[in-house]
Amino acid sequence: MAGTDPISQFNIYELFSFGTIGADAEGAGGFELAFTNSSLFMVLTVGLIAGYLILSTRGRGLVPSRLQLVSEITYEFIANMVRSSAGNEGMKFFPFVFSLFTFILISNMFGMFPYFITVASHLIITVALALLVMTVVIVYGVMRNGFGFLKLFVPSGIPLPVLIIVVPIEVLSFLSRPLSLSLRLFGNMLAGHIVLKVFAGFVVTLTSMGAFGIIGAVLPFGMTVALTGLEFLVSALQAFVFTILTCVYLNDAIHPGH
Amino acid sequence: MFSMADSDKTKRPERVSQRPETGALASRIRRAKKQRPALAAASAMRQNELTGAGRAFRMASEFVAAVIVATALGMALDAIFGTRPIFMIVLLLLGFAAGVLNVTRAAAEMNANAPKPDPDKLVPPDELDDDDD
Repeated sequence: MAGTDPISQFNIYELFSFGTIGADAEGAGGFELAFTNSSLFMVLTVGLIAGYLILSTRGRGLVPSRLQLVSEITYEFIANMVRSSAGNEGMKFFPFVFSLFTFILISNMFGMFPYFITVASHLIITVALALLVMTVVIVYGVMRNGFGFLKLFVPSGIPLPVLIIVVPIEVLSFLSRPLSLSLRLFGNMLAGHIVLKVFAGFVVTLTSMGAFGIIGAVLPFGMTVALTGLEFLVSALQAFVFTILTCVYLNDAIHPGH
Repeated sequence: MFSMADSDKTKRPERVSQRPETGALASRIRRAKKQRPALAAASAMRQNELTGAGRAFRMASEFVAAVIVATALGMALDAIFGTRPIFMIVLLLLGFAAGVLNVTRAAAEMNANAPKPDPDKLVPPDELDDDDD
């Protein structure tokens, strides 16, 4: 059953434990710090990104090698994205945005390997990323603009009576951002991988039903191939969408007046 | 509709450096800077490759998130003040409005990033009910 169960691919299991924090004398309660398979892939992701960037740019060739070119293209791509949506001042956040993009992209790509876990298919990971973005936006917005940051909630050129209803709506719209940001990434990765696994499961089930089943299995197999391609697209696209929205929100922190 | 298409080109102002530069280097820098808006436009183009499902998911999550956040906030306020359904109902309605606001903003953003429409394929103006642009 485990072979065709579409959910078991998201199982988190402990690889080793760092021990328990805050347990009482009997060892009950407390919070266990465990190194899970999800943690492993996060470490692998960060390791791959850091390793690749460091090794590929070590030569510092004026005429870049092929490997260095990939790093430079990634840099240019993110730098242009930040500049075009948050302006030159947004370049302050370039390291942050670059880290976010590469982390989501590479962890999603890791998730495309069979038997590997997709880190972003767990809500807690995407919520943590989204809250990190919103914390940066709020902290920097208040640091840079002081109370002027609240102008974000007050669209200009609106009469006072209308403001009474518009301001709460704007506040709610702002509060919903971390949720929509995290739900989108989580939902896309989770749904995509489940659909992929369901169709792949059809192939397994049908081929066990004799010759007729094997002929019938061609259809879900073709679907699985097509969905794999789509999942690669979705993985890259969601990393991009997450990053571009981060830039848009950072722009709000820099210029709250609209 | 047509005026929007025209103003597309002038949207991104070119940055002009005020520092004095010399000879060949200056022209190289100028050329590199000219390429920058093109690169930015290229990356904006890439966003348009959003699949239909991707676009739908974006809209749905924008809308649902606002309603969920507002309702949760309302229930929390009710729990604090002991006014059981009132805050939840008010904030649910406000959350609905915020969700619609989010969706219209996302749609406006997608429209702004969309490539110029092909003039041959445009619906004649008299067949359009309203035109937000």
